[in-house]
Amino acid sequence: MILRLTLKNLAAHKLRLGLTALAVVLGTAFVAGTLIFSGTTDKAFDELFAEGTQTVDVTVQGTRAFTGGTDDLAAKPVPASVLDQVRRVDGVAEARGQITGFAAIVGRDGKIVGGNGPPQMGIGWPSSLSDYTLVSGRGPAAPDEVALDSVTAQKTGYTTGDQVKAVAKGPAEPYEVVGVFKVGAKGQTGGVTYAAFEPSTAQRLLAEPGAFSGIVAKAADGVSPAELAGRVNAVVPAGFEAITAQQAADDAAGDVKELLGFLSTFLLTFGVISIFVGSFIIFNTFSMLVAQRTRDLALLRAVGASRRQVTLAVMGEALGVGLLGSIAGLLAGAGLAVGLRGLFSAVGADLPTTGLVIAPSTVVWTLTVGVAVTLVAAFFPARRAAKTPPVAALRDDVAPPVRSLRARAVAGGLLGAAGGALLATGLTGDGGDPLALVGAGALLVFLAVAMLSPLFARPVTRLLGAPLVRLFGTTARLGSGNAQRNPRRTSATAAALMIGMALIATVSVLAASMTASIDKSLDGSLGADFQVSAGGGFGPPGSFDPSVAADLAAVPGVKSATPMTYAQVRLGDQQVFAAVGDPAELAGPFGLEMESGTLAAGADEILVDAGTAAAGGWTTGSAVRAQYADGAFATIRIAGVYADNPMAGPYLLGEATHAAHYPDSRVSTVLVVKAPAADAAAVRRGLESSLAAYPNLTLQDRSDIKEQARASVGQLLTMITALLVLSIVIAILGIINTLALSVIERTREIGLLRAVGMGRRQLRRMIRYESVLISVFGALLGIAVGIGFGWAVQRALAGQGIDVLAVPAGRLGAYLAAAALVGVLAAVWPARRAARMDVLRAIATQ
Amino acid sequence: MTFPLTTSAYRDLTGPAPTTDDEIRSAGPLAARAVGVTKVYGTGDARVSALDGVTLGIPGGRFTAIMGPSGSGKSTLMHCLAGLDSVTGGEVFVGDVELTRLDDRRLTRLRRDRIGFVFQSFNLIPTLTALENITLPMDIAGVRPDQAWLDAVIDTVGLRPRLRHRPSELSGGQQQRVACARALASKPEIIFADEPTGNLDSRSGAEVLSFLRNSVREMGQTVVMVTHDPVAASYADLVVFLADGRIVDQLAAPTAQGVLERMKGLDR
Repeated sequence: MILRLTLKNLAAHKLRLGLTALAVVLGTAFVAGTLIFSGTTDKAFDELFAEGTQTVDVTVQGTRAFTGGTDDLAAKPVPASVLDQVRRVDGVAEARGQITGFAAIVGRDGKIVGGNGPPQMGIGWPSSLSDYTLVSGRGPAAPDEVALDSVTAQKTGYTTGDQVKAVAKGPAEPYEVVGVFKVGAKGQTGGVTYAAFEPSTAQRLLAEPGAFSGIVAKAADGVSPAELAGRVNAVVPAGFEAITAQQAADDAAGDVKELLGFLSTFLLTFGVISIFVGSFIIFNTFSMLVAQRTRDLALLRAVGASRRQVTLAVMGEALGVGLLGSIAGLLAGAGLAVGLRGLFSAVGADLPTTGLVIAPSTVVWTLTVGVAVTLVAAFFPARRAAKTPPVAALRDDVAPPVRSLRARAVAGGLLGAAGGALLATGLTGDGGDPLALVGAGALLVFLAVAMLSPLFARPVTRLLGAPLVRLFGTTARLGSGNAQRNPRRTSATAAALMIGMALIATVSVLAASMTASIDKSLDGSLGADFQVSAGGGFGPPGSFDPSVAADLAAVPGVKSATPMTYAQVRLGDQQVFAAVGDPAELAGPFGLEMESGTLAAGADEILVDAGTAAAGGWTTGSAVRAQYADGAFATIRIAGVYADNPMAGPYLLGEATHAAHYPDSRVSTVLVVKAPAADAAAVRRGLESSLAAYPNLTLQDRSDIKEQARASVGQLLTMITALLVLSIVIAILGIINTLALSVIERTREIGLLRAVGMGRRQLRRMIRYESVLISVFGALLGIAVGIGFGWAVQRALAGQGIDVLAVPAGRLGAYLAAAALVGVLAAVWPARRAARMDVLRAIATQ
Repeated sequence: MTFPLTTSAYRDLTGPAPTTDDEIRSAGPLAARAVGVTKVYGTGDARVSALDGVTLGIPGGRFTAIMGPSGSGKSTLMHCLAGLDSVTGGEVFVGDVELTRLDDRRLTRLRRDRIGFVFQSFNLIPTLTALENITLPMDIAGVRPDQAWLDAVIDTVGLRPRLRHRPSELSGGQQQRVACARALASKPEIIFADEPTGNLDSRSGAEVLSFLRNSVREMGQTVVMVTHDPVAASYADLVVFLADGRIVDQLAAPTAQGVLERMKGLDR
């Protein structure tokens, strides 16, 4: 009986519930899309890396102290003598040295190919034990010959016989393309570009003459890879290890997956935000449906339905909406996953492809989240429905009793206080998982604001409506009146928009503060006039031969050209990136200001910035347990503490320590200071001509450096804002839904207005005003909350360089204007529906 | 402005209703008229004829009641006269404007500028005050109300102390009086009232009806009221009886008793 009622109600309110279901669809689609995307990409990378294991069984390489980062390129070279030792191991059928390192092809446009994440690989052309197959030409055999992978060849248009330039450690050199090869069985590179050189050339270009990056070996029949790895491990010298190819593939895949895992978590966060926003819409829709059906529900109660049955009937509808929405969301998610992949290849980071992976866990998660959120959001309206007194069926006045807002104020206040406390704990890092604490705190604050906002929805919308009323007269008065009429409904609708707006405002405030802080510190400290660095997007920083610094120093008008790089080091239990160079030489270009200690960092000594020192409880002379890239442990001494410096970052490691424990002597940046009298433009021209042979290096002056710092902040801001737009879209659906339901509820009133002479256009305008007021109210709440959040986070990060609070008033104003536009858009459809209403039928509606 | 007409002046209107346009036009100045109006709902077997060739003149400056049993088509007739509903056949005039040729925009304007409405219930916009409700049609039109007239109307309905109240703070009778004031405030050519006392107790009903009658007698307003209550009809100058979509009778200077008897005759 209750089931039939539920189904009938679902059918009767198709349109109203359809919009609600759409809110569920959007949220779950984002979650499902992310899960499907990461599942598919993980599998594709597994397949890609597993291809290598079909040709070799064991890999020998320098011991890796750290995972992730740039270690692949910085691994300790394996001397040729080790190859001989490996070849002599019983059970090794075949072994060869492997050479890999950075090398990029210069495209027809003079720019290097690739570099948007996946590495640009130079390799020594293998004679055997490889999964490279020539598709045309032959392998490189002379120092001036190169072979390209088929994807790169296709992208650049280079074919056998073409003259190309390639750049590795040193300057770009000319080569002849003698062959094109396929990687693996499918020829997929996953965005990596390959340039293969004749082996001894490769050693010179990519590693060290006579040394290898690693050794690969094939086991004789009857010897298992694990067994062989054990035997090889017994003979290789300390500092090297033998692992099975499977292990090596897993490690390599693991690095990539870890990176993609971050991305998935990042995207999932936005999916969760969307679902949270959607829950407000679900709550609001069911509240309104229940209010509109008070008579029906009371009649049910009057004829003997129990409270439980009424609750069940409403919850049944929610279940239907949640289930349908989640299933549609799952399907839409698959489409979204395909879209994400397209997005990646659009920015030049091709991902290996495989069939879409829709794991059972993805299905379970999506459906569970979608249905659970819908049920929770619908629970409160359902309970209210059950409380409808049977006598309401007989009363003409079906308006639900107005409940006191006092209980709400108290509950909202408590919730807000709890949220604030969680936020504070998370931000100050006093225990617990900071991210989880901040997330939970923000969630509670949002709920609190949503609960409290009905208290001031009426005065605020009246205030906002006042200028509209003055300008536009009666239609605006009516619209404003409608927005004030039901503060709970207005607030719940606005709350959905508030959340997205608050997060966007938070990010905007943070970005503005970061930019302002960077500007401030760069203005005060930057000593370098130019910076030369290897290009590369969010991938590992490229590196180049330190001799470039000497070339640049020789340019007329250059006072100094100081090389530096970055390296991983473990301090205590933290794995951090440290700037590496001669602190005394870098002090000028960086504009380092010492607070204590010395710039002379000797062996096992490190400099740290003031914020880090304070956080770690360190002072000059403190000793910290450290581990370097070669795996060696040491007790490192804090040689000095400098004022926070955006160029140097938190750690500065001396060259001596680096040379002793890090195999890679290449650098990633050269900082150039010009002579005071020299003409900047002339120096720039000199530097440019000196760099002509290095298409992989970029030259930036001070304003470029600032611009880059600003741009990277700006990019992040744009990306996060774009992702948050999804939650705004869901909020728009909510406004549409509320307006549409309000229009239905006010049918008779609209009929009356039309009867006494209101035109269709005026009616549409009236609804538009209501919509705009709700949107702007939500946006104002959001921006207020966002400024609060932004301020809190900025305070928390003040010690880490974000010491200026900047509120981007112009940007926030633009968001407010955008919210008004959102209101106009959201009103289009409900207004059209209202205007189309038949006057007579509207009046006659009971 | 007072009309010199007394009840006795149109006692001669009682009797068989005029049936042709010429006949109704010869009866005197008309505020509105319907000529051979038919209204059909549905098609085929479900075809229902609500109005079956109604020809009727609404005399200007008088209080006309349209009476009839349920389903007689009296509400439909009023809706057609007021430009709220379209006709299937025939012509409807308000003043000398033919309504059936007007599009929605012109009809809306006509209702706004030339017609006043009082409905049975739900007459007021809940978000507006009593005064704002009264001036609503003029506010929608963007014209300033005639303040002297407005004051006169407000005083007549006796609402001055309640002007800043919202409808929810008014009694049912007060709400209907606000609706009457709204209908009157813009000086429409004709006021249509659809069962204006249907939801009121007898005292409040009497107040509203007296007000409507006074607006005719003292202000020269034209009022058309649809009702099924003989007592309400007795406030009118002229009662037109409708049955099965046709005008069957009319009665001038009615008494409640007289109307009741005619009605009994119709309720076979």
